Amino acid sequence: MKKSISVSRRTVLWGLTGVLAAPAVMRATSAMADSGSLTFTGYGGSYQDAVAKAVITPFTEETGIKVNVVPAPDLARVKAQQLAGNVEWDVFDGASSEGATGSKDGLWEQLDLSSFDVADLAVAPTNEVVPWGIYAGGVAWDPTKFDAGKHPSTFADLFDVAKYPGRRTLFLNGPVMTLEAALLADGVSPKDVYPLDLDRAFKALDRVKASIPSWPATSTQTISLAQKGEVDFCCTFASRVKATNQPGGGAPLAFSFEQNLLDSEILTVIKGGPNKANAIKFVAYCLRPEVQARLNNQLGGVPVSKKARPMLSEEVRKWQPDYENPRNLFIDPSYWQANNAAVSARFKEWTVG
Amino acid sequence: MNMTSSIRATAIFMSPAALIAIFIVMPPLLYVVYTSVNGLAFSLDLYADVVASKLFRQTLITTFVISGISCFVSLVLGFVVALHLASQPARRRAILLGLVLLPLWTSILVKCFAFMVLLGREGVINSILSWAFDAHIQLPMILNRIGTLIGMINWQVPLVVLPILASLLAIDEAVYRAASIMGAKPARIFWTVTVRLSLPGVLAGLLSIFVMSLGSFMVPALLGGPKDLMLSNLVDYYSRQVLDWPRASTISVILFAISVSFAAPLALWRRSRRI
Amino acid sequence: MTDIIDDPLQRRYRAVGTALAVSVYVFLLSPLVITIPMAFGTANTLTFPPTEFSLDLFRTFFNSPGWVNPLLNSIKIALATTSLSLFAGTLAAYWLVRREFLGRALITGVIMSPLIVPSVISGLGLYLYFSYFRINSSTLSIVLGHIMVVLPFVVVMIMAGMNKLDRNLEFGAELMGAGTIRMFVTVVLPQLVPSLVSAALFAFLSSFDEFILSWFLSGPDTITLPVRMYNALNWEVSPVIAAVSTLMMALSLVVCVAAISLRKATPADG
Repeated sequence: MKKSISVSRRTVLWGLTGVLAAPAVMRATSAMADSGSLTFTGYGGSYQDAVAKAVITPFTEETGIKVNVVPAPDLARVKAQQLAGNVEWDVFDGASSEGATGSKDGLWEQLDLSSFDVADLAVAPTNEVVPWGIYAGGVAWDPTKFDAGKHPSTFADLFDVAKYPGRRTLFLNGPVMTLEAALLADGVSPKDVYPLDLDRAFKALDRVKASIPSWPATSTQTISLAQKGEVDFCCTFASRVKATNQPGGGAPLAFSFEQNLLDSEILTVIKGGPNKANAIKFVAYCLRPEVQARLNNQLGGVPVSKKARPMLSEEVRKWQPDYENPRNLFIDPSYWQANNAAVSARFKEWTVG
Repeated sequence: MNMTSSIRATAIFMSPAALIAIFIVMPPLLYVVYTSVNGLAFSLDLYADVVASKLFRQTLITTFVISGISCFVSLVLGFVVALHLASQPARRRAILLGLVLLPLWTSILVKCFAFMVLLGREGVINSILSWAFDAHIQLPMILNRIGTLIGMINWQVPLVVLPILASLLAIDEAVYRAASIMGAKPARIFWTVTVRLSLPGVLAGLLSIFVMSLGSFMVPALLGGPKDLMLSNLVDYYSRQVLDWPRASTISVILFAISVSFAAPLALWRRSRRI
Repeated sequence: MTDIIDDPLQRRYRAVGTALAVSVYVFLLSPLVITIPMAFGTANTLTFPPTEFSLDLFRTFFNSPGWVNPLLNSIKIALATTSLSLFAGTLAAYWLVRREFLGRALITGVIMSPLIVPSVISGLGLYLYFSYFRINSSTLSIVLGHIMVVLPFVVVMIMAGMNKLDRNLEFGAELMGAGTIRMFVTVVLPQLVPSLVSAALFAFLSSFDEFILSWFLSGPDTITLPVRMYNALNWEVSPVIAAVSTLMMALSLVVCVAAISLRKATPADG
C-alpha cells in the first residue's frame, strides 16, 4: 500500500510538470521577442475613439508598430501581472493619482527623460510618470431639462441640495477628486485644500449622500447616467461632455467652467512589459506637439505640450478650462501617493454606512 | 471483477475529472487560503482585522439581508408558480415550465440591462405610470435596494420552482382524496397536505438559492446603489481597487466558509434522503 | 392534483392561484421581452419604444470586428468547454453512480465545489494561478476556467440520467463477458443520449454566458461576448447592447426549447 502511494505521487508530480510546463515554454518563447506591437490600456467610449484616430493609427503608419488596445486600465491587473512575472501590457494610461500609486508600488519602468522635450510640458514629468494631457472635471446637466440659473454650476451649488433638489453623481467611485470637490463646496479656498481635512470633507459629503444613487465606475457612466435621466446633475469631464454635443454622442449635455478640478492624464511604461522599446517610442510619440494638437482637436482636451496649444481649433478652445480662475484646483498626486490606501478605505466605509 | 482491474478501470473513468479537480479546481482555492494566512507564516491576524472592520461587518449584514429577503420572496413566488404548474395537464405544464426556465437560461447581464431599461427613472414602467396618471413620475427602482432585490428574485424564482414542483408531483393523489373524503376543507388540505408534504422540496430550494445568492456579484453591482454592497463586491473591491489581495483572500475564505456552512446541511440531507 | 374535489371555494382558490402565477410569469419574462423591440430600433441612444424599426443595430453588430471577434471567441470557447467537460463529466458521472472506490467522497466534493465557491474567488485565484504558468489571457485559460464551472452541472445532469437507466442491461453485458469500457460504450452511452444532449446544451450555454471568470482571464485577443457587453455597459453608451441581448436570448430560447422537447414533461429534481 505504502509503495503504491509513493508511485502515484511521483506520477502526479511528473504529470504536473509535463502538463503545465508545455504551454509555459510555448508562451515564454512567444513573449520573448520584442515584436512589432505593443499593448496600450484605454478607457473606452469617445475618449478611446479619439485616441485611436489621432494617435494610434498614425503611430502605426509611421513606425509599423501595431498597437493593441485593452479597454480596462486597472492597477490591480498590472500588479497581478507583475507578481506572476507575466506582464502583458506595455503602456498604461490613467489619472495622475494612479500614476503616483503605481510609482509607490514599483509598477513602472524608469524612463530616460532626456528623450523628451521636458521644457515643452506644462506639467513636469517624474522619471516614471509622464503627463500627456490635462482634463477638467466639473458639473454637467441636461440643458433641455434645466434652464440657465436652474442648475448648479460650482461644487458649492452641487452640494446645496435645498437649492437644487434632484439626484446627482459625484466623481468616479473613490476619494480622488470627490474629497477635493467636497472641500471646495464647503468653502475651503483652493490653496488650502491640501493636505485634505478629511473630517470636514466627509461631513460635507454627508449633506449630499442621500441624493447620490450611484458612484460611477467609469467616466462613460457619469455621462450615461445623466443622459438616461437617472440623475439630474453629475460631475464629469469636459471632453466627455463635448463628445455628447457631436453627432453620434447621444443626448447633448452642458458643462460648467465656473469651477473645475484639473488633473493630468498620465502615461507610464509598465515594468517588465513585453515590448519596452516600442512602448518608449509610443510615449515619446504621444508627447509630440503635432500629435498633442491632433488628439486634443479630436478630444477637446487640453494638450500638455505648450507648443501644441496655438494649433488648437477655434471649436476646441471653447472647451478649455480657465487656468487663471481662482476657484479652480489642480489635483496633487503626491498627496494621493501617500494617502490613497487609507483614505480609500475610509471612503468605502463611508459609502456603505 | 478483481482488485487490480477495478483500480485500472477507476483510473480510466475518473482520471479526466480528477485531473481537472487537482489542477484546475483546487489550486485557486488553495492559493486564496494560502494568501489569507500570509503564506507559511500562518498568521490569523488578518482575520481578526477583517472581522473587526466596520466595512466588512456592514457588508456581511447587507449580504444576509439581501439574500434573506430575496430568498423568502422567491420562495413564496416560486411556490405559487409550482402549485400552478402542478395543477396543469402534463403538456401545458411542459410549455409553462419552459417559460419559467427561459429566464434561468438567459445571461444575468442581459437581464440586468433589461431591468435598467424597464425600471429606470425614465424607464418603461415610469413612462407608463406617468402617462396613466398624467404626471411626471420618477419612482426610483434601480440603483437601490429595490432594484437589487428585483434582480435577485428574478433569477432565484426559477431555481426554487424546480424542487418544489418535484415534491408536489410526488405527493400521492390518494392523500388528497383521503383528506377530502374525511371532510377536510381546501384551506386545511392545503396546509396539512400540500405544504407539509412539499417541505423537502421547499427546504432544498430555499437553501440552494440562499447559498447561491450569498455570492451574488453582478446584480448588486449593476442594479444596486452604493449601500447594496455584498461580500463578492467587497472581494472585487479589495482585489481590484485597493490591490489588497491578502484582505480580498481573507474575505473570500470567510465567504466560502459561510457558503459551506449553509450548503453542508443540504448536501448531508440529500444524501440521507437518497439512502 | 386531482379534480375530484370541485366546489366553489376550491374554484375560487384556484382562480386566485392562477392570477398570482400569471403575474409571476409576467415578472419573469418581461425583462426578456422588453429588449427585443429595442434591438430593432434605429435611435442613437436607447429609447423605448423605438420610433422606427430597422435592422441597423444588427448590421452594426455584424460589421464591427469589436463585436464579431468576441462572438467568435465565445463560440470557440463554448465548443471546447462543452466537449471537454462532457468527456470528463460523463465518465466520472458513470463511475460515481455505479461504483464505490477510495476517495470517492473527496473527489466528488472537489468537483462539485465550484457550485458553492463564489465566482469572484475562483476568478482571482485562477488568474494568479494561470499567470504563474504564463497561460493567462489565452483561449486555453478561459476554457479551463469554464470547464471548472461547467463540470459540476454536467456531472449532476448525467448522474440524474444514469439513475433512470436499467442496470440489468449492464449486468447482462458484463455476464456476457464485455469489458467495462466496451460495456460503457455499447450499452450505457446509447441510453444516455438524451441526458448527454441536455448536458451539452447546458454546458455550451453556461460557457457562452459566463462572465466573472472570463472577466478575470480574458486578454486583449480573447475577449468574450459577455465581457464585451459588460464593457459596453460600463464604457460606452451603445444601443448595440440591445441587439446583443436579443441575440443571446435567441440562443437561450433555442437551447431551452431543445432541452424541453428532449426532457418532455418530466421535471428535473433540482
